[in-house]
Amino acid sequence: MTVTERHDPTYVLHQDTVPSADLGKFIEEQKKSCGLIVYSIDAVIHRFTGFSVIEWLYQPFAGDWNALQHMKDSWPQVATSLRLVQGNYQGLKDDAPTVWHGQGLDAAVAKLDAIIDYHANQAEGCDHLSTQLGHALEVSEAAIQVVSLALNFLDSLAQELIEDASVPVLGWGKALVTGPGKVKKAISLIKKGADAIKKLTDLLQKIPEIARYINVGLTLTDETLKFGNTVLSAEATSHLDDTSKQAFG
Amino acid sequence: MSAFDDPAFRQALAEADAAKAAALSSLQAERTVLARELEQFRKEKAERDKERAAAARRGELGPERQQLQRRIDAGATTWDDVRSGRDRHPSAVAVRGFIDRNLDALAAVVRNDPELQREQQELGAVLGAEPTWPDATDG
Repeated sequence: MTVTERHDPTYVLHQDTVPSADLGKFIEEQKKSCGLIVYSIDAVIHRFTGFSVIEWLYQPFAGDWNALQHMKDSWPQVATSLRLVQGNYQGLKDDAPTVWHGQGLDAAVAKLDAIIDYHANQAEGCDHLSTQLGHALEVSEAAIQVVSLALNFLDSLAQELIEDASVPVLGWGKALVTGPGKVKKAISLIKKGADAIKKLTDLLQKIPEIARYINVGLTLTDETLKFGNTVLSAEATSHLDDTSKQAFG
Repeated sequence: MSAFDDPAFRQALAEADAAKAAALSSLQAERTVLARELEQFRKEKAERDKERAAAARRGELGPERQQLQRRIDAGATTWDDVRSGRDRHPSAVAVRGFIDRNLDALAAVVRNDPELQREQQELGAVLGAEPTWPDATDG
Protein backbone atom coordinates (compact mmCIF):
# COMPACT_ATOMS: atom_id res chain seq x y z
CA MET A 1 0.00 0.00 0.00
CA THR A 2 1.26 3.47 -0.82
CA VAL A 3 0.46 6.16 1.71
CA THR A 4 0.36 9.72 0.48
CA GLU A 5 -0.37 12.67 2.76
CA ARG A 6 -3.36 14.69 1.62
CA HIS A 7 -2.07 17.79 3.37
CA ASP A 8 1.43 19.08 4.18
CA PRO A 9 1.04 20.33 7.76
CA THR A 10 4.48 21.93 7.83
CA TYR A 11 3.71 24.71 5.37
CA VAL A 12 1.43 26.35 7.94
CA LEU A 13 4.29 26.44 10.41
CA HIS A 14 6.73 28.03 7.96
CA GLN A 15 4.43 31.00 7.42
CA ASP A 16 5.13 34.20 9.31
CA THR A 17 2.51 34.86 11.91
CA VAL A 18 0.31 37.83 11.25
CA PRO A 19 -0.37 39.50 14.58
CA SER A 20 -4.10 39.62 15.32
CA ALA A 21 -3.46 43.04 16.80
CA ASP A 22 -0.05 44.38 17.68
CA LEU A 23 -0.79 44.41 21.39
CA GLY A 24 2.68 43.15 22.30
CA LYS A 25 4.35 46.00 20.41
CA PHE A 26 1.89 48.52 21.89
CA ILE A 27 2.60 47.31 25.44
CA GLU A 28 6.38 47.44 24.85
CA GLU A 29 6.10 51.03 23.54
CA GLN A 30 3.96 52.05 26.51
CA LYS A 31 6.52 50.49 28.86
CA LYS A 32 9.30 52.58 27.33
CA SER A 33 7.39 55.86 27.58
CA CYS A 34 6.21 55.03 31.11
CA GLY A 35 9.78 54.18 32.08
CA LEU A 36 11.01 57.61 31.01
CA ILE A 37 8.28 59.34 33.02
CA VAL A 38 8.71 57.14 36.06
CA TYR A 39 12.44 57.77 36.37
CA SER A 40 11.96 61.54 36.07
CA ILE A 41 9.25 61.85 38.73
CA ASP A 42 9.94 58.98 41.12
CA ALA A 43 12.06 60.99 43.56
CA VAL A 44 9.48 63.79 43.77
CA ILE A 45 6.53 61.44 44.21
CA HIS A 46 8.45 59.36 46.75
CA ARG A 47 9.21 62.51 48.74
CA PHE A 48 5.51 63.25 49.21
CA THR A 49 3.83 59.85 49.27
CA GLY A 50 6.50 57.71 50.92
CA PHE A 51 6.35 55.19 48.07
CA SER A 52 8.52 54.60 45.03
CA VAL A 53 6.20 54.33 42.05
CA ILE A 54 8.84 52.62 39.94
CA GLU A 55 8.50 49.27 41.63
CA TRP A 56 4.74 49.24 41.95
CA LEU A 57 3.54 50.64 38.67
CA TYR A 58 6.22 49.40 36.32
CA GLN A 59 7.50 46.01 37.43
CA PRO A 60 4.25 44.09 36.68
CA PHE A 61 4.80 44.82 33.01
CA ALA A 62 8.35 43.45 32.94
CA GLY A 63 8.81 40.68 30.40
CA ASP A 64 8.81 40.33 26.65
CA TRP A 65 5.31 41.17 25.43
CA ASN A 66 6.34 40.84 21.80
CA ALA A 67 7.26 37.21 22.53
CA LEU A 68 3.90 36.63 24.20
CA GLN A 69 2.15 38.13 21.18
CA HIS A 70 4.18 35.80 18.94
CA MET A 71 3.17 32.79 21.03
CA LYS A 72 -0.47 33.87 20.98
CA ASP A 73 -0.34 34.10 17.18
CA SER A 74 1.61 30.85 16.78
CA TRP A 75 -0.70 28.52 18.71
CA PRO A 76 -3.50 28.78 16.08
CA GLN A 77 -0.94 27.84 13.41
CA VAL A 78 -0.04 24.79 15.46
CA ALA A 79 -3.75 23.99 15.73
CA THR A 80 -4.17 24.29 11.96
CA SER A 81 -1.18 22.05 11.37
CA LEU A 82 -2.57 19.45 13.78
CA ARG A 83 -5.93 19.53 12.01
CA LEU A 84 -4.14 18.91 8.71
CA VAL A 85 -2.34 15.92 10.26
CA GLN A 86 -5.74 14.79 11.55
CA GLY A 87 -7.01 15.06 7.95
CA ASN A 88 -4.13 12.90 6.74
CA TYR A 89 -5.02 10.18 9.23
CA GLN A 90 -8.64 10.51 8.20
CA GLY A 91 -7.55 9.91 4.59
CA LEU A 92 -5.52 6.89 5.65
CA LYS A 93 -8.54 5.51 7.51
CA ASP A 94 -10.86 6.19 4.54
CA ASP A 95 -8.51 4.49 2.06
CA ALA A 96 -7.49 1.54 4.22
CA PRO A 97 -10.56 -0.63 3.41
CA THR A 98 -9.66 -0.54 -0.29
CA VAL A 99 -6.45 -2.45 0.30
CA TRP A 100 -6.89 -4.10 3.69
CA HIS A 101 -9.52 -6.54 4.91
CA GLY A 102 -10.25 -8.56 8.01
CA GLN A 103 -9.48 -8.15 11.72
CA GLY A 104 -6.24 -6.27 11.03
CA LEU A 105 -8.25 -3.56 9.31
CA ASP A 106 -10.70 -3.30 12.23
CA ALA A 107 -7.84 -2.89 14.68
CA ALA A 108 -6.09 -0.33 12.47
CA VAL A 109 -9.29 1.70 11.99
CA ALA A 110 -9.85 1.73 15.75
CA LYS A 111 -6.29 3.02 16.32
CA LEU A 112 -6.65 5.55 13.53
CA ASP A 113 -9.91 6.81 15.05
CA ALA A 114 -8.10 7.30 18.34
CA ILE A 115 -5.26 9.18 16.63
CA ILE A 116 -7.73 11.36 14.75
CA ASP A 117 -9.51 12.23 18.00
CA TYR A 118 -6.28 12.98 19.79
CA HIS A 119 -5.09 15.32 17.05
CA ALA A 120 -8.44 17.09 17.26
CA ASN A 121 -7.93 17.40 21.03
CA GLN A 122 -4.39 18.73 20.58
CA ALA A 123 -5.68 21.33 18.14
CA GLU A 124 -8.42 22.35 20.55
CA GLY A 125 -5.87 22.67 23.35
CA CYS A 126 -3.74 24.95 21.15
CA ASP A 127 -6.78 27.12 20.43
CA HIS A 128 -7.53 27.39 24.15
CA LEU A 129 -3.93 28.41 24.88
CA SER A 130 -4.07 31.10 22.21
CA THR A 131 -7.36 32.41 23.58
CA GLN A 132 -5.99 32.63 27.12
CA LEU A 133 -2.80 34.39 25.96
CA GLY A 134 -5.06 36.76 24.02
CA HIS A 135 -7.01 37.50 27.23
CA ALA A 136 -3.74 38.28 29.02
CA LEU A 137 -2.60 40.58 26.21
CA GLU A 138 -5.91 42.43 25.90
CA VAL A 139 -6.21 43.09 29.64
CA SER A 140 -2.51 44.01 29.86
CA GLU A 141 -2.99 46.54 27.09
CA ALA A 142 -5.99 48.08 28.88
CA ALA A 143 -4.14 48.06 32.24
CA ILE A 144 -0.99 49.68 30.89
CA GLN A 145 -3.07 52.41 29.28
CA VAL A 146 -4.54 53.26 32.70
CA VAL A 147 -1.08 53.09 34.31
CA SER A 148 0.37 55.24 31.52
CA LEU A 149 -2.35 57.88 31.96
CA ALA A 150 -1.84 57.85 35.74
CA LEU A 151 1.92 58.28 35.26
CA ASN A 152 1.44 61.10 32.76
CA PHE A 153 -0.88 62.78 35.25
CA LEU A 154 1.66 62.27 38.05
CA ASP A 155 4.32 63.76 35.76
CA SER A 156 2.21 66.89 35.18
CA LEU A 157 1.53 67.19 38.93
CA ALA A 158 5.22 66.79 39.76
CA GLN A 159 6.20 69.39 37.15
CA GLU A 160 3.75 71.89 38.59
CA LEU A 161 4.86 71.21 42.16
CA ILE A 162 8.45 71.89 41.10
CA GLU A 163 7.62 75.00 39.08
CA ASP A 164 5.44 76.36 41.90
CA ALA A 165 8.37 75.78 44.26
CA SER A 166 10.83 77.66 42.05
CA VAL A 167 10.40 80.93 43.91
CA PRO A 168 11.89 82.46 47.05
CA VAL A 169 10.16 81.49 50.28
CA LEU A 170 8.08 84.69 50.26
CA GLY A 171 6.41 83.74 46.98
CA TRP A 172 5.73 80.17 48.06
CA GLY A 173 2.68 80.77 50.29
CA LYS A 174 -0.04 80.16 47.71
CA ALA A 175 1.62 77.02 46.35
CA LEU A 176 2.03 75.72 49.89
CA VAL A 177 -1.75 75.87 50.23
CA THR A 178 -2.48 74.09 46.94
CA GLY A 179 0.40 71.57 47.33
CA PRO A 180 -1.34 69.12 49.69
CA GLY A 181 -4.25 68.87 47.23
CA LYS A 182 -1.80 67.90 44.49
CA VAL A 183 -0.21 65.30 46.77
CA LYS A 184 -3.67 63.89 47.55
CA LYS A 185 -4.36 63.68 43.81
CA ALA A 186 -0.99 61.97 43.29
CA ILE A 187 -1.88 59.33 45.89
CA SER A 188 -5.25 58.70 44.21
CA LEU A 189 -3.50 58.29 40.84
CA ILE A 190 -1.06 55.73 42.25
CA LYS A 191 -4.06 53.86 43.72
CA LYS A 192 -5.75 53.87 40.31
CA GLY A 193 -2.58 52.47 38.73
CA ALA A 194 -2.31 49.81 41.44
CA ASP A 195 -5.99 48.93 40.97
CA ALA A 196 -5.46 48.48 37.21
CA ILE A 197 -2.55 46.16 37.94
CA LYS A 198 -4.65 44.18 40.43
CA LYS A 199 -7.32 43.65 37.77
CA LEU A 200 -4.61 42.32 35.46
CA THR A 201 -3.03 40.03 38.06
CA ASP A 202 -6.46 38.71 39.11
CA LEU A 203 -7.06 37.69 35.50
CA LEU A 204 -3.58 36.23 35.06
CA GLN A 205 -4.15 34.03 38.12
CA LYS A 206 -7.02 32.31 36.31
CA ILE A 207 -4.87 31.32 33.35
CA PRO A 208 -2.65 28.70 35.10
CA GLU A 209 -5.80 26.83 36.19
CA ILE A 210 -6.94 26.60 32.57
CA ALA A 211 -3.40 25.78 31.44
CA ARG A 212 -3.38 22.88 33.92
CA TYR A 213 -6.48 21.40 32.27
CA ILE A 214 -4.95 21.92 28.83
CA ASN A 215 -1.73 20.33 29.99
CA VAL A 216 -3.65 17.29 31.28
CA GLY A 217 -5.45 17.05 27.95
CA LEU A 218 -2.26 17.29 25.93
CA THR A 219 -0.38 14.90 28.20
CA LEU A 220 -3.13 12.31 27.81
CA THR A 221 -2.82 12.74 24.06
CA ASP A 222 0.94 12.35 24.07
CA GLU A 223 0.74 9.26 26.27
CA THR A 224 -1.86 7.66 24.05
CA LEU A 225 0.13 8.35 20.93
CA LYS A 226 3.01 6.40 22.45
CA PHE A 227 1.09 3.11 22.08
CA GLY A 228 3.16 0.43 20.37
CA ASN A 229 6.27 1.07 18.34
CA THR A 230 4.44 1.13 15.08
CA VAL A 231 5.48 3.25 12.18
CA LEU A 232 2.12 4.92 12.47
CA SER A 233 2.60 6.19 16.00
CA ALA A 234 6.21 7.18 15.35
CA GLU A 235 5.03 9.22 12.42
CA ALA A 236 2.33 10.82 14.50
CA THR A 237 4.64 11.84 17.31
CA SER A 238 7.25 13.15 14.89
CA HIS A 239 4.60 15.42 13.43
CA LEU A 240 3.84 16.76 16.89
CA ASP A 241 7.51 17.38 17.57
CA ASP A 242 7.84 19.14 14.20
CA THR A 243 4.83 21.21 15.05
CA SER A 244 6.20 22.52 18.29
CA LYS A 245 9.70 22.99 16.89
CA GLN A 246 8.49 24.98 13.92
CA ALA A 247 6.25 27.17 16.02
CA PHE A 248 8.58 27.86 18.90
CA GLY A 249 12.05 27.09 17.63
CA MET B 1 -15.03 12.26 26.12
CA SER B 2 -12.06 14.57 25.65
CA ALA B 3 -10.30 16.24 28.55
CA PHE B 4 -11.72 19.49 27.26
CA ASP B 5 -15.30 18.30 27.73
CA ASP B 6 -14.76 18.19 31.50
CA PRO B 7 -17.47 20.46 33.02
CA ALA B 8 -14.90 21.87 35.45
CA PHE B 9 -12.71 22.93 32.51
CA ARG B 10 -15.68 24.51 30.73
CA GLN B 11 -16.54 26.32 33.98
CA ALA B 12 -12.96 27.60 34.30
CA LEU B 13 -13.07 28.82 30.69
CA ALA B 14 -16.38 30.60 31.26
CA GLU B 15 -15.01 32.23 34.42
CA ALA B 16 -11.88 33.40 32.59
CA ASP B 17 -14.01 34.86 29.78
CA ALA B 18 -16.23 36.67 32.28
CA ALA B 19 -13.22 37.94 34.26
CA LYS B 20 -11.62 39.25 31.08
CA ALA B 21 -14.81 41.03 29.99
CA ALA B 22 -15.27 42.59 33.46
CA ALA B 23 -11.62 43.69 33.69
CA LEU B 24 -11.68 45.21 30.19
CA SER B 25 -14.93 47.06 30.82
CA SER B 26 -13.71 48.48 34.12
CA LEU B 27 -10.25 49.42 32.79
CA GLN B 28 -11.66 51.07 29.68
CA ALA B 29 -14.06 53.15 31.82
CA GLU B 30 -11.17 54.17 34.09
CA ARG B 31 -9.07 55.09 31.07
CA THR B 32 -11.83 57.35 29.72
CA VAL B 33 -12.24 59.16 33.04
CA LEU B 34 -8.48 59.58 33.55
CA ALA B 35 -7.92 60.83 29.99
CA ARG B 36 -10.64 63.46 30.45
CA GLU B 37 -9.27 64.55 33.85
CA LEU B 38 -5.72 64.74 32.53
CA GLU B 39 -6.75 66.83 29.52
CA GLN B 40 -8.62 69.23 31.80
CA PHE B 41 -5.70 69.43 34.25
CA ARG B 42 -3.23 70.14 31.45
CA LYS B 43 -5.46 72.87 30.03
CA GLU B 44 -5.69 74.56 33.43
CA LYS B 45 -1.99 74.02 34.12
CA ALA B 46 -1.09 75.67 30.82
CA GLU B 47 -2.96 78.77 31.98
CA ARG B 48 -1.22 78.71 35.36
CA ASP B 49 2.14 78.22 33.61
CA LYS B 50 1.48 81.33 31.51
CA GLU B 51 0.54 83.36 34.58
CA ARG B 52 3.61 82.11 36.48
CA ALA B 53 5.91 82.92 33.56
CA ALA B 54 4.37 86.40 33.21
CA ALA B 55 4.85 87.04 36.94
CA ALA B 56 8.45 85.85 36.64
CA ARG B 57 9.09 88.23 33.70
CA ARG B 58 7.72 91.15 35.73
CA GLY B 59 10.15 90.26 38.51
CA GLU B 60 7.37 89.39 40.99
CA LEU B 61 8.97 86.00 41.77
CA GLY B 62 12.41 87.42 42.56
CA PRO B 63 15.47 88.36 40.48
CA GLU B 64 16.79 84.79 40.08
CA ARG B 65 13.48 83.49 38.74
CA GLN B 66 13.23 86.56 36.47
CA GLN B 67 16.68 85.86 35.03
CA LEU B 68 15.86 82.17 34.59
CA GLN B 69 12.61 83.05 32.80
CA ARG B 70 14.53 85.35 30.42
CA ARG B 71 16.91 82.50 29.64
CA ILE B 72 13.97 80.06 29.09
CA ASP B 73 12.31 82.64 26.79
CA ALA B 74 15.58 83.04 24.86
CA GLY B 75 15.84 79.26 24.41
CA ALA B 76 19.06 79.13 26.47
CA THR B 77 17.63 76.56 28.89
CA THR B 78 14.53 74.47 29.65
CA TRP B 79 12.71 73.38 32.79
CA ASP B 80 14.02 69.87 32.16
CA ASP B 81 17.60 71.20 32.26
CA VAL B 82 16.87 73.16 35.42
CA ARG B 83 15.19 70.19 37.12
CA SER B 84 17.86 67.70 36.14
CA GLY B 85 20.78 69.90 37.18
CA ARG B 86 22.22 70.07 33.65
CA ASP B 87 21.80 73.85 33.69
CA ARG B 88 24.62 75.18 35.88
CA HIS B 89 23.96 78.88 35.34
CA PRO B 90 23.80 80.79 38.67
CA SER B 91 20.11 81.58 38.10
CA ALA B 92 19.36 77.86 37.67
CA VAL B 93 21.45 76.91 40.70
CA ALA B 94 19.63 79.51 42.81
CA VAL B 95 16.20 78.38 41.61
CA ARG B 96 17.07 74.73 42.33
CA GLY B 97 17.90 75.84 45.87
CA PHE B 98 14.43 77.41 46.17
CA ILE B 99 12.83 74.25 44.81
CA ASP B 100 14.63 72.03 47.33
CA ARG B 101 13.81 74.23 50.30
CA ASN B 102 10.18 74.71 49.32
CA LEU B 103 9.56 71.05 48.53
CA ASP B 104 11.08 70.15 51.91
CA ALA B 105 8.63 72.56 53.54
CA LEU B 106 5.73 71.05 51.62
CA ALA B 107 6.86 67.51 52.49
CA ALA B 108 6.83 68.50 56.19
CA VAL B 109 3.29 69.86 55.84
CA VAL B 110 2.16 66.70 54.04
CA ARG B 111 3.66 64.37 56.64
CA ASN B 112 1.85 66.20 59.43
CA ASP B 113 -1.51 66.42 57.65
CA PRO B 114 -3.85 63.84 59.27
CA GLU B 115 -5.93 63.42 56.11
CA LEU B 116 -2.85 62.82 53.98
CA GLN B 117 -1.44 60.44 56.61
CA ARG B 118 -4.64 58.44 56.31
CA GLU B 119 -4.34 58.50 52.49
CA GLN B 120 -0.76 57.26 52.76
CA GLN B 121 -1.80 54.43 55.06
CA GLU B 122 -4.50 53.39 52.60
CA LEU B 123 -2.00 53.53 49.76
CA GLY B 124 0.38 51.38 51.82
CA ALA B 125 -2.41 48.83 52.28
CA VAL B 126 -3.06 48.78 48.53
CA LEU B 127 0.62 48.38 47.73
CA GLY B 128 1.26 46.02 50.64
CA ALA B 129 4.18 48.13 51.82
CA GLU B 130 5.20 50.63 54.48
CA PRO B 131 6.11 54.15 53.38
CA THR B 132 9.80 54.97 53.34
CA TRP B 133 11.03 58.52 53.37
CA PRO B 134 13.97 59.49 51.20
CA ASP B 135 16.53 62.07 52.36
CA ALA B 136 14.90 65.49 52.37
CA THR B 137 17.27 66.84 49.72
CA ASP B 138 16.64 64.05 47.19
CA GLY B 139 14.66 64.90 44.13
